[in-house]
Amino acid sequence: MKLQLVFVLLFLSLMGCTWDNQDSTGSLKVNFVHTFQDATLQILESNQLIYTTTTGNKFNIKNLKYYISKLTLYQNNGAKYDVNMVKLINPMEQNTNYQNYTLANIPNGKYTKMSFIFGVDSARNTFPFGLPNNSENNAMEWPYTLGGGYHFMMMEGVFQNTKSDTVGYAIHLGVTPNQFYNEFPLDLTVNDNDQSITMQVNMEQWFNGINKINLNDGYGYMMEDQKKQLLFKQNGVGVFTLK
Amino acid sequence: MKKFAVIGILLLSAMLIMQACEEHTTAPDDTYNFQTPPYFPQLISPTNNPLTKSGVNLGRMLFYDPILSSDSTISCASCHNITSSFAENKKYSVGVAGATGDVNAMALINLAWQRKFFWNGRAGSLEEQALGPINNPLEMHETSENVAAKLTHSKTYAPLFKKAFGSANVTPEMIGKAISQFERIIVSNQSTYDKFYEIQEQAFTAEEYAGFRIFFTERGQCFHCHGANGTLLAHNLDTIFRNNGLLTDQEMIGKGLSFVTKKATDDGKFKVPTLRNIELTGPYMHDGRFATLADVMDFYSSGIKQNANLDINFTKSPERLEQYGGLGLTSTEKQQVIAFLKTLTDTAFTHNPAYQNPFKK
Repeated sequence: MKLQLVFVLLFLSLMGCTWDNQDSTGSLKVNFVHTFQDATLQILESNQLIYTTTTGNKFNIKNLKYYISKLTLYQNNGAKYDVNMVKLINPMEQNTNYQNYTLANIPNGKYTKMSFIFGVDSARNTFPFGLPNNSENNAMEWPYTLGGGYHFMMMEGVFQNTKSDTVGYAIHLGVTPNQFYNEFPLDLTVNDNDQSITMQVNMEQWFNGINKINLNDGYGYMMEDQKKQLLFKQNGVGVFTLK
Repeated sequence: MKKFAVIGILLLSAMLIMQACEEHTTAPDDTYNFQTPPYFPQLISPTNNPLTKSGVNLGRMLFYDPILSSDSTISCASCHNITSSFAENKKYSVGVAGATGDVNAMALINLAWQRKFFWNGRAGSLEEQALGPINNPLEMHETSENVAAKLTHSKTYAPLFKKAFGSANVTPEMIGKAISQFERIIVSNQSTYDKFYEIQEQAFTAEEYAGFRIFFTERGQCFHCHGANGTLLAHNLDTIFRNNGLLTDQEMIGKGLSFVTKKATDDGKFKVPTLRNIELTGPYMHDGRFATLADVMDFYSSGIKQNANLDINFTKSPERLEQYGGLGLTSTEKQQVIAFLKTLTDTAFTHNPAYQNPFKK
């Protein structure tokens, strides 16, 4: 009975500690909203070809997963808030937790810039198990034979090739040189509050950035083709827009 | 006054919670000390079925006991033979009264890290899977309820259930829990391949390593379904269902995952099996159509049937499909992949005394 009383008192005093700390931080939830141009992205199970690239490929997206890491907020005075995060974004999951990330315990203040790395940061993009050894990370592994680490992105689907056959494509990015850095101006004042922002992820830009992608050029086998991965890395910079 | 009332309620709640915890705590000496092997993800047992010594022991007995079948002739082990890595070296297994099944018996390896069971994924837990064969007329041709009644009246089993689950009044749920506890501890992690994590390519002969490279590059593509760096290969964590071109459009209707989901887009998609001990588990595929690994290699190399749900990993190379009917592997490459696959053989697993028939003296 004495032990139980101590347990309750300890619990209450811990709650008290938490309350004391709550007055100097806020949180920011970043929602990743996937679109094709400005319409909500449709990820299909069927082979229906609902999108068209600027190069004329009719195609669809059947599988999409990617990592972001090192989401960081910056103040004008040079201070930054970096929780060394990594997050698998999976728009196919019904659980919306796979489509957002919440930066918690952000010190109160005015933040003017946000950045993140597309992919897994180099410190964790390692063999074996740079990331926690669990199902979702293991399903993204990049083979040791091809450099190890993780797929930064898997985007797969089907398209109509020059013979009018519906065939597969697989945009797989990985290996540390194919990470890229994204930064966005921000107007965020954290003052004991919980806020959210929208990051639009326009999938069309992967195909229609500075490089115009024609899926007939062989995007089934690109894990060993650094030139092809570079095309997507260069296009990827335009994919994300902070709303 | 309100403050006192709140504190009083909190105190009462805390005491009730602690008492409840005490009542359901497994006796310390009965906790099954499962050691997660190196490089394996932490094993997480269901909270309502933690591993206990008495549960595992009971599950092992049930696994090997034909009492589960209607005529007491068929046990789990009849079709899941430890020398075959808990598979059976037959196309289809034979059930009660000579009934023949319609799918190949799957190997039981590292199930603790899997999420869906059976070739078509119809069981969402190991506990649910464990009861499936009992109720299948092509297998044990019994009902879980009948088995529960038999076990309740058994002088051997009733006290064992009492010890494991607190009641000698056996229920189907308790049977599923016991068998799944045994299945959960069946772990293979001592193959040649397991040395790869420590010493990488030095684990292999030149031929095995050549096969390893085919397997884990886009030449062979195998890793896209069976797992990269060996984690999925080893544990099959993230259960996936794929259409690997075994069936035509007509043949695949209603077969595989679509049996469960009723979606045409899932026709012909079957669970990707672990490749651990694959040398021991033939014949291969859901219908046991291939007798040898060489047959399997020939199929992936030149025997793929095109259908509407054929996996992207095949259709993304229409040139190969058109020219070869598959990956177009050379005979040397096929041999190399087979040599690599044999590095997954784990004889320590098949000789592990903890997995053997407890009724054999």
